[in-house]
Amino acid sequence: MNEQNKKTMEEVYSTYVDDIFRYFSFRLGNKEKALDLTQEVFIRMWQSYIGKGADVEHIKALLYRIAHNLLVNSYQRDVRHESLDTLSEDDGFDVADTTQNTLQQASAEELHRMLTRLSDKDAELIRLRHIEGFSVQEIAAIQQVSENTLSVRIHRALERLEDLYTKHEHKTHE
Amino acid sequence: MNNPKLQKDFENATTAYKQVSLSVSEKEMLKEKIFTAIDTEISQPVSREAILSPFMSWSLYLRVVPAALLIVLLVGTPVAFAAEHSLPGDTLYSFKTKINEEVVGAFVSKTEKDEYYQSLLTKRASEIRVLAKQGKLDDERLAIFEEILEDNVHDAIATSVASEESPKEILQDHQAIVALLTFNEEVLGVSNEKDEPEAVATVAATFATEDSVAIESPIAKIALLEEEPLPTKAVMSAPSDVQNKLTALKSVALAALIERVEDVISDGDEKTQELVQELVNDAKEKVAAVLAEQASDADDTEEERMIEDQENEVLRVEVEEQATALSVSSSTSATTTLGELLELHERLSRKKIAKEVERLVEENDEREGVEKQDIVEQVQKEIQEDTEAASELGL
Repeated sequence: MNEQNKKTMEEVYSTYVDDIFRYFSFRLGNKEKALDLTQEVFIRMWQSYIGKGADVEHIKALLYRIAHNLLVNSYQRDVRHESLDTLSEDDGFDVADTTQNTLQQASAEELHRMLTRLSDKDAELIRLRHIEGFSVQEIAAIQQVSENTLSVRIHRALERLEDLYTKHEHKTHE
Repeated sequence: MNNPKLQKDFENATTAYKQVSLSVSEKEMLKEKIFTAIDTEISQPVSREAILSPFMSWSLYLRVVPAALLIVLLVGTPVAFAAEHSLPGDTLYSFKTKINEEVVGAFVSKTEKDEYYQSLLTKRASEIRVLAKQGKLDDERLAIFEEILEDNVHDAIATSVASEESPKEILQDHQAIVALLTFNEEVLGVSNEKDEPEAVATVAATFATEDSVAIESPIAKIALLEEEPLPTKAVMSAPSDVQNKLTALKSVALAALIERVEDVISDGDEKTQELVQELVNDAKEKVAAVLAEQASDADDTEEERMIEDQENEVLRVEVEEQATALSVSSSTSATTTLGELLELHERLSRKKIAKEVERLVEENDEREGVEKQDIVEQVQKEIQEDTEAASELGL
């Protein structure tokens, strides 16, 4: 029983470890912390589901949900946590060293800066939907809201981001 | 998405995002950490059961709680209620003293314990009085009573000593106990005069405990008093000595009275009535004496005098009521009336003695030197008068 569960766990780990690590490092900009939280996600996954032999239908959504909760807890625990803005300027995104060309990186960083000007909820939706490539269905599963509600929220968040971009362009043109 | 720049940025960000990954070695390291944690959990599964408090032993709990419940239930039942009115020798008497009183005693607060044990002594006094009245005092009942009384006296003395009372308060308590015990002895003496002389001695011996505040047999105290005059300094430093001697004297005076009363009762009905009348008169005189003494006491404040006068007035009314009751009652109830009269007498004497000692203690704080001798002499004189008055009346 345990052996079977462990085998499942190994599969889950190799399939999603990069995604989860990416999720954390993108939001925390701190590799060590991202690694710690990634480890914690998989241990919790084992303790609550796989270790008990539970039949999990949406493993990916469940992993992200655990990750999301851990992230929120981590923010709340770490009172001195630095804003994403500061992180991106300092050591943030050092994991993106492999970026092939600097233009691409600059573009990504500009988007990131723009996102920090949105509300946390809006920014999170944009990241999930348009950068990380989750389907509306998957995001709905992670955040545990209905797909309709989520669609409206994502649409509005995108509108606000576009608005920011338009204003920014006007400024740079002037 | 209408903004081409945003579109481009999204694409670039997605690309950058996807490039974020762990190296193979990093993955292996993380995997090892995770699976070590998992293996540890398999070998030592986290118990989901409630952790028992180390302060609660179930075996103890199972034993103590039903016992406590049983006691609480019993004390709250008709059995306990019925037991409250039992007398020594009755089936429920041990229930009353060993369970009812013990349980209540356990729940009485520390500050009230002293008072509670005193009240138990009062209870014992009324029990023995009832037994005496009913003529039920035999060896068996007396033995049971003595056992309980001894426990109660020990408890009362222990709490009295343990509580942080001022010496004056302890003195008063001590006095109350002694007076109560003396009274019990008197009652025993009345009821079992003919066939139970040893019982009196036994009870007296019971009172002579080995405690530091030992209550000596009244007879022994009288012998002591006759041999040596009251040493001033000793009296002042230990006012309870004076107290003991005063109580002892009073008890002897009462004992003489009782003896006389017994004789008269055995002689005939006519004489009994006369004696009863005499006793009533004596009680009246005593009340008057106390009143006069209070009035002449210049040291008392107006307020204190008023309160005392009121108290004395209450006593006086009681005596008069008793007298009226006596005059209409038949001679067959002479013994009962005698008990009541003795109680009245007891209260009067006790009150007077308590006042004397209190005054002595107070004055001790204020005065020094020769005056002490005077006070002691005065008290001695008063005691003497008291005894003489009682003797004249009785003999």
